[in-house]
Amino acid sequence: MEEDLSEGARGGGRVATVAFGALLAVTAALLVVTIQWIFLLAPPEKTMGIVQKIFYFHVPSAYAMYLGATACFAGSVGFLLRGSERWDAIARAGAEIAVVFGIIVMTSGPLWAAKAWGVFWTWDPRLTTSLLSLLIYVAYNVLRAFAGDGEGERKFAAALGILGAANLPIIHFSVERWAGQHPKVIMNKGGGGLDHPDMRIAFALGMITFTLLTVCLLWARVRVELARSRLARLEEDAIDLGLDDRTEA
Amino acid sequence: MQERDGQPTSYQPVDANVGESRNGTVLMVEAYVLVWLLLLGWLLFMWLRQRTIDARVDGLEAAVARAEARRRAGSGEGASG
Repeated sequence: MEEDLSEGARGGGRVATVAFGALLAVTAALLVVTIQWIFLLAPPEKTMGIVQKIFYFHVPSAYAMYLGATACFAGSVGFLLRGSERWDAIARAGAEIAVVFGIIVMTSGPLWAAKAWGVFWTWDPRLTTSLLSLLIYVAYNVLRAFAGDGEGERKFAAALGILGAANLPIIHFSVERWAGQHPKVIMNKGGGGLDHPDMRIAFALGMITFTLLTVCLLWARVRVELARSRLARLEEDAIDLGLDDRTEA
Repeated sequence: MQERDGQPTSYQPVDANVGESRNGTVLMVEAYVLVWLLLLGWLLFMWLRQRTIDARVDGLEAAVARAEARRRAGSGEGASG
């Protein structure tokens, strides 16, 4: 029983652990290659200079935020349909990833804007909708942290996770619909505004690396969440059986 | 800010399009440092959470071991009695 308890609470099976390790190793190697490409091979941009290199992780971070938000949406739908803890864990992990990468987007963007626009912040449609989305996922996490872990709270959080995703297409198309100052280098009509091959490779590497990084983080966070909820159940069982050390003294 | 007799009579907003030029290298380094600090901070947070779970598992394992020892001692007394 003790072995089962440790296995269950401390992580998944051996195959999953090896697969996770392999994924982590590939991600780390790609991260090194990406950073090398961004700083040593991709040329600085003609008008903005070196600060344009923020773009190579600002955009992938925004994409990672979308991935986290999508995981939260999928997990929330799955939880409402199936009611399983795995789906709930995916939703919770996705929301945390959306917040972490959302903060990265909302800090790296203004640092670029300080040079390009002369101001850190402006109420541009894309900036405003991105900030709104970040605040929605902050609210989700605050709800999960302080509202308890009951069935009702989980369902309420799942509803918020689904509603929060409605803002994602608005962020994406805000540049098209309402113009604003935000550049649309990736979405322009020519199919990409990166004029040098090394710029395109650096950007592609950034996107691939951040996708793998997001998968690694999501996986790790889901495992922690599943272990936490399984342990909570075991503790309840232990208390019922009079085994838990908190009831023994 | 317009002045009359040395006292301000209105406040004028700064033109948002004419900001001071900042050092691009410093801004880029700041952005990279922020990215890695945020990611490492979150990983540290996750590691602390995992450590809390490990501590709870250790407590539960110890409780199971003590209960097992009590059960054996009880059955030993029963057999000898």
